[in-house]
Order: sequence, then C-alpha cells, then structure tokens
Amino acid sequence: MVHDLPASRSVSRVLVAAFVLASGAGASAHRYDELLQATRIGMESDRVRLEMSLTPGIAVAPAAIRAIDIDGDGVFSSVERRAYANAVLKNLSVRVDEGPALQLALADSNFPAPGTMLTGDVPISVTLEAELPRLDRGDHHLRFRNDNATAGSVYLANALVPDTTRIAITGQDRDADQRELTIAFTVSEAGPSLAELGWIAAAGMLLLLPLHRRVRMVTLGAR
Amino acid sequence: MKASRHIAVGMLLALAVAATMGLAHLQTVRAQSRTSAETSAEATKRIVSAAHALLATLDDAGRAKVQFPFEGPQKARWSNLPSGIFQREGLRIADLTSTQRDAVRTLLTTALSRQGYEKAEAIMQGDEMLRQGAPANGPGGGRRGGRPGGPGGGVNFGKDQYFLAFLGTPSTTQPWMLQFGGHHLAINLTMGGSQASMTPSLPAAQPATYTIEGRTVRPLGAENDKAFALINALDNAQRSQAILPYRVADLVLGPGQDGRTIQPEGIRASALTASQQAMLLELAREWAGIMHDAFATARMAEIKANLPNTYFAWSGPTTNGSAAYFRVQGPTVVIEYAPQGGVDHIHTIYRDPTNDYGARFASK
Repeated sequence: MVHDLPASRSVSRVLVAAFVLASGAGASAHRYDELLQATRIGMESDRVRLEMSLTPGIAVAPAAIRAIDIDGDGVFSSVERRAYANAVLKNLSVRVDEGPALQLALADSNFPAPGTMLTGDVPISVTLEAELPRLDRGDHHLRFRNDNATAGSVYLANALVPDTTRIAITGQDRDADQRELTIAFTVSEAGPSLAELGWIAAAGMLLLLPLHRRVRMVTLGAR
Repeated sequence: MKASRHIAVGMLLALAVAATMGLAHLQTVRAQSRTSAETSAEATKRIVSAAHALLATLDDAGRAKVQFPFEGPQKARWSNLPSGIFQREGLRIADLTSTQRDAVRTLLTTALSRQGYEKAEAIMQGDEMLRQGAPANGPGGGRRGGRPGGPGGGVNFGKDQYFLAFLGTPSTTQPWMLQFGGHHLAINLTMGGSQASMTPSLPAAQPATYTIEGRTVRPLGAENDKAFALINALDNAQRSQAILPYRVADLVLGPGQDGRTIQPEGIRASALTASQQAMLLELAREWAGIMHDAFATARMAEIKANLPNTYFAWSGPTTNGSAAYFRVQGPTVVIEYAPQGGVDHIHTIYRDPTNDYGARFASK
C-alpha cells in the first residue's frame, strides 16, 4: 500500500520557502545536507519487518524530490512512489545465519507532499517484509545491510523488542555509521512458519473430514 | 536458671520493641501513601478546576476549537516542527484574549511542577528568540527569526504559536488529556482520576543557550550537565559498556514512533554504584519531574523500582560542551537526548512503553 501523508500540497511549497528563508537557510537548524535513514527491525516467529524512515535534509531535499517526482509535475504519483520504494528495497539486504538474502517485499509506504520535504525534517516511510526461514531452537543472527544512497546519508538501525516470546535478542553489533546491523538472537523452541501452519491446518481438515462423515452416518443410522 | 530467665525476658522485650517499631513504621508508610493519594486527588481536582475555568472564558467557537474526542487522531498530532509546517489543531495562544491567556497560564502552572513550567516557558522563550532573530549564545546561534504568524497561516515561530487541546472532558473521574505544544515542545498529560501520565512528551530547545535581560537561559541545561556528570562518573570498564561504538544522529523513538520498543543497549544500572544510580535517577527526574509533583513522585518511585533493569547508553564525546547523544531505557521509561548537528539545537523524547497516553488507566 502506498499512502499520502495528510499534508496540504497547495500551501506546502510556500510554507517551506518561508521556513527556509526564516531560518537563515537553516544550516544548523534542521538536518542540512544528509539523508537520515532510520530502520527499525521487528522480528516475528515467521517474518522480519523493516520500518524505514527516510528524511532528506534541507540541502538535499530538492534532489530527493526530483529523484522521486520523475515527471516533475509536483506530485508523487503512485507509480513514482512505488518506483522509489523499490529502488530503496534493492539496496537493502537481510540474511539469517549466512543464508541467502531474504526476499524483501514492499508492505506499506507513506509519502509527504513534495514541498513539505524541503524543511529537512519530514520523512518518507517505507515498510518492507520478508519471510524468515524455519529456525531451530538455539542461537541465530540476522544481518541487515543498507547500501541505499551511501553518499551523504546518516543511518540509524535498531532492533525492536520482538512481540513473540519465542525470539529473544541477545545482542546488536553495528559498524560505526550503522549501515550494517547484526542482531544476535535465540529461538526458544522450533516452530512452524505461517505457511507450514497453513499446510498443517489443511492436512488436519482433510484427516478430520472422513471421521466427521463416519460420525454423521452412525448418528443418522442410529435414528 | 536466673540468667536464662533474664535472657528470656530480654528477648521478649526486644520482640515487643521490634513489633512496636514495625507497627509504627507500617503506620508511617500507610500515612505517607494516604497523603500521597490525597495529594494526587487534590492535584487532579485543581487541574480539572483550572481546565474548566479556562473553558468558561471561551465562547462556543473557542470551546469547539479546544475540545476533541479522547480517542482519535488528535492524540498523536504532536511534533517538534514549527506550526505551519506541522498542522496543529486546538486553541492557539495568538488567538486568545489576555484573560484567556491568563487562564491557560494558570492551567499550565497547576498541571506542571514549578520546574516543569519554567522549562516549558524557557523552551517557548527560545522560540521567541528565533522569531525575533536575536543572537543566541553558542555555536549555531544567531540565525534569523521567523515571520510573525497571523491567522492566514505561514511558518510560525514565537511564544504565541503554541496550541492547547483537551481530549475528552476534563474530569476528576474519567480519562482525559491535556495537550500543549508547538515548535520544540509537546506535552501530552493524560489524567484518569488520581493517576496521570505525561508520556509521550517532547521537550526540545533551539537555541539551547540564550541571554534575556542579562540572564543566561539553558532550557535543557540541567539534562545536559547531569548526563555529562554521570558519564564522567563511570570508570573505564563501565564506560566501555555505556558508550556505543557508533554514531547516533537523531532520536530513534521520536514523533510518529508510538508503540515501538527498541532493544535496550548500554550499561545496566545494576552495574552502577549507588551514587551513580542516584545520578541516573536525578537525570530521569528532569523529564519525569515536569508534571505536577504529586504525580511525579509516584512516577519517580516507579522508575526507581525498575532501576536494576534500566540502561544508560551514550554516543559521542564525553567532555561537557560537546554534542553527545544519550538514552535512558527501562521497563517503564525511554528518554533520548539528541543534539541536531551541534550543541545549540537539541531534541529529546520521553516515553513510557507501558503507559504512553495513560494506556494503563485510560484504555477502555
């Protein structure tokens, strides 16, 4: 899903121009020439979720807007938004226990009106998800790497406390600029993935169906 | 035989004294908790009364502007951004008469502690300095001020560009919320009977140091100084645990990050000495103590009770006067302090993962 943030496009450019002038180009007032990429990583029993906020500073916001608004009509169309989110996605990687890169998919995104981004403080939000491989009981690690817009970016990367008690995070290891985060975690018991749960449920239904029929026949015969 | 009788009598006497002392202590504790409860109830009554006094100064249009449903989008409508860029709703100070402004001031001084109100005032005065373009002390100061805001809108700085809203009807029994904020300030005070929560809230500052009437003002100076004092009170082994080996460029759980809890990092308070733990508590008090003392006391007791599982993390230089990020995170508290590129522009956030917007007592 791709959403607009509830910001008024009609006034945004005027407001932002005023803001930038008012803050004396805001060199130290708000983020200036960096793109802040903040990623929060949530792990569930069967999937990993990346919640990203991308906030271009005042000096780089015009270029960021041009990079998204390809046709330059002052509006981020759904095609343009999806293209930007997918471009971000392609520069990320998530691996578990040195396995292959997980298949990330776009789950949600929120784009502000283009003009509001010129303040250097308004984020684009992109949420990505990937299915986790089956994890046996014991120690594991998940390695996240962000190679998106490496020139002029600053990064935040944090593990969220898992919603499930099955997974417990035991450590976080980052490089100095937080482009790479390795999350060490333990799995308390091996559990089926969501897909496997679906198959188990389907198999159960198939097994129970003849039994149900037999009980019904016996009941009808008794009458 | 005689000696053993004396010992037995002595033991009985000792037991009686211990029991009396224990009973007295129990009575004191009960009296203290009763006083505390009464104080909270009284505080609630005074705050609700001040809220209704403000409502009484408004006409129908004003009441419609200030009043919102308790559940709804207004709850999370707060930001560090200036008004105009961020669209706030509620009663704008600029639109009030002097009587109404007095009523707002009375409400805030009633709802907040003395130091909390002074902090909020200093933050708003800092924004007024931005509006006026007055030179500020410290690196990064002295930028031009913003335009005076009028009813037509615009990017607005200054003391008049703060908004007040009530979510729910101010009541001594039912949950409601007092929301007050503008550029670099968001106070979300949820009340439910004699309980109160002031999370999430965002006290920030720009300029972080300024001079007014010959007086130097640092809205978040105590937060900064107490944190530097704590990091410098740690020994090398403790520092190696507290200091994160990477740069933290901004708040992790700032506006828009409701309901998220990050994995804690840094040094656990159980690895601190008693005096270091006391310093950590005093640091947390800078945020917890913004609300009325009656509620802040209970809040501090909660933070103290969870202290062994509370973490202190640091990123950046350890010499006071430098720009450094720090975080205090425990089961019921998250505090982040994030300089924005320099020491003269600070963002902070204050949360309770278990009780933001009074979730523990206000959820229906």
